[in-house]
Amino acid sequence: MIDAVVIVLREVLEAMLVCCVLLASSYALGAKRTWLLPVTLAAVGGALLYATNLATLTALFDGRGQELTNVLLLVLTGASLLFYLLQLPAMLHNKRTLGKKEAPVTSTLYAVLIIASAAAMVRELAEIFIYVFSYGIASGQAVPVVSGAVIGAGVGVSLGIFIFFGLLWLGKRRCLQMSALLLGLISAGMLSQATRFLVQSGFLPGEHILWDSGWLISESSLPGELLHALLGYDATPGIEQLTVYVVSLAFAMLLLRKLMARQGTDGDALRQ
Amino acid sequence: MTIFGIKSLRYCVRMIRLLSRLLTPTALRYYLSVILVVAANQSSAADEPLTITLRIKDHLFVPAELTAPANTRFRLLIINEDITAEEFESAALNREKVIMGNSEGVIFLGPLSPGEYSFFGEFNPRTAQGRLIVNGPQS
Repeated sequence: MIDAVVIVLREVLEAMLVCCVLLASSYALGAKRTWLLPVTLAAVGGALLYATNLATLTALFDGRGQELTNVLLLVLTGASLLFYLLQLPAMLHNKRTLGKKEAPVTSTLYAVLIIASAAAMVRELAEIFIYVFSYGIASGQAVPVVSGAVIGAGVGVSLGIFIFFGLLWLGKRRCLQMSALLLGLISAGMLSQATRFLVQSGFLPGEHILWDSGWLISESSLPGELLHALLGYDATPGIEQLTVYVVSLAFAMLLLRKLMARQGTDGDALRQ
Repeated sequence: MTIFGIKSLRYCVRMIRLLSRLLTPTALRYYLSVILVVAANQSSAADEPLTITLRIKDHLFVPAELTAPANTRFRLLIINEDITAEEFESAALNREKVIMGNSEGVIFLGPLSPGEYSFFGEFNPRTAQGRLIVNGPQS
């Protein structure tokens, strides 16, 4: 049962982190919560499709279908997070010129929020479905697997709620900055993970592994999992992975600086 | 509560419209060219036929110890003979892949330097353990 708790917790943790940080950020921006229903529908529907067709999917493209789907989902999340960060300064500007009554958040931004969180959740939810149904119930271990999964999901969701309120507790101004920083780190991690799947499926040449920090922080330990979800930590990164990570992180930090500069000029735009 | 309001439908439509931009004729032509390039690469990649096979049986890896040559790129074919799903995972090799019951999957590995690389089945982390031993001269 402990195994089930750990497996489900690590999947939930990754998905919850993206969603809760996005939720806190959009909340600080003054977005409505109407986008939660489409996200839930898209994520659960997508995960069911992914999980039930995984065997067929894996066989596609000469046995590379699974990796390509993962790459698509990761790039979709990473790119829409960066797009969201790109849009933030303009949103702040709108908020100031339109006044408090008008919602500054455009429907494009809502669509980006939906795509980013749904794509982040599909893979993790699908893995939980596969673990619970195709492993747990199929092998006759329904009770320990399902109860472990429920506990793991409970712990993961609680951590997500804790992150959400922790970010809101900072106040709107700091919340936007902090969540932009976290989203930048997460998107860099997602894009570097996508690179790793391209290497795994043979589309990119064999990587030259740069270092092995597994002895210091093992990727399968809890701190390793947390760092993986937060920073895209990898104990044995390849050179392609590191390049993608550094480039996208630099881009995200540039956007963060722009956001902070905008907050500086619009001094009281978000002071509440 | 406006969480599940009717407005969400509008966002859905907007989302579909945004995604549909990925399907314009120009974009499709671009995808086609990417696919052609990839296909061309695949035919040239066909001259590295080294494939190592690993089976999953009764939630265990058979054989639990694999050997591979150093500094060579190869394919690892994982055949799951159980009816249950399993996830091949290795931090040392930097790989993870779900293999559904009664199906198979391929991952590309290497070039690796000589040494021992451990892997495990994520759904049976205590019992489904294995090692890949890479022999050969240091590059």
